[in-house]
Amino acid sequence: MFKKYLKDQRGISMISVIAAFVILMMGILMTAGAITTAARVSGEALQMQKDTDAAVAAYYQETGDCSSDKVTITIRQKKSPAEGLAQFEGAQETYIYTSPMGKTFSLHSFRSVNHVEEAEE
Amino acid sequence: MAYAKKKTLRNEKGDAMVLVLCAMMLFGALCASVLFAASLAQGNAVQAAVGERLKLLTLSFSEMLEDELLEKGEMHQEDMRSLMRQMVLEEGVTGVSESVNASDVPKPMELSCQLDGKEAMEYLEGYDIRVKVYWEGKRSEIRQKLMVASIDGIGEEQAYDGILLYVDVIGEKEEESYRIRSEYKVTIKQSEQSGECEWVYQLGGKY
Repeated sequence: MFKKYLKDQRGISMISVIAAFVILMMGILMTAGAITTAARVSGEALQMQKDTDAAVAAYYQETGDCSSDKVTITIRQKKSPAEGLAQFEGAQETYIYTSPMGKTFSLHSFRSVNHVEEAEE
Repeated sequence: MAYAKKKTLRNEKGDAMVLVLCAMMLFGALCASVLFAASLAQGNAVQAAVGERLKLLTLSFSEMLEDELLEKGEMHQEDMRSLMRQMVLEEGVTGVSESVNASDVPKPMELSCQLDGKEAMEYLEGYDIRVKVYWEGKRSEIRQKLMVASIDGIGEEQAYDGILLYVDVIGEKEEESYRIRSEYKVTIKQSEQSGECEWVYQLGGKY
């Protein structure tokens, strides 16, 4: 009975087994790498979402670094730019929020100059 | 011939490689789907951040325009109130000169914004601001009033009393945009002494 199995020459060669193992390992490593990358990217996305919410909340609560520049705003008609235009002063504010992770998030906004002067008084 | 074909079909050499390749394809599909889901989540987060920035930018710009339009006192040649008045009058004249059957659909007038002489997009690091204005009113009545005024030679501007002015502020960045519309009721008061018309804008709503 055993003689029959010993004499049997069918089966897979060692080279084939090694080749298949290497290819399978490559697949497993690729999957592991992809899952790690995906987890990192999802984590960053979640953090970005949290930072955005926190930055907007901090903007409304006015708790953060804010730089304000006076700008001259010119509004023109697109159809005939030379004919109609309005010009007035405004304040362009850039609000910078730094997250606990150290990432910065900037928000631009405008304010009427009258409002800025009222607030300063 | 038939025997050789049968032999080829029964040949089992390479089975293991086919299995491995199938397993590899499964792994590949798994990797692609996981990476796609992650990139989708990141794309949504970036989109939300841009959306919030646009919302703040547009709302604050709209409020600033509102302050300019609701400002009381003497009207100057280059202020917002004067520009709106000029645009309504220009568009009104165009509308009246069209045939009687001309559509009553208001035509939006587009405005561009510059900040310190630079285009808004350049100044605001890729974020753009556009303003669209249009007015609504009973055009047939306005046409009639304008015709009477042209015969009498006075009160042309009075024809526009009671119109609704819509100011759309649109913030844009690439494919993202945010729009806010302000509605103003226009009242035109004519001074008895000088005969000059004063356009008073009253905020009706924001949506």
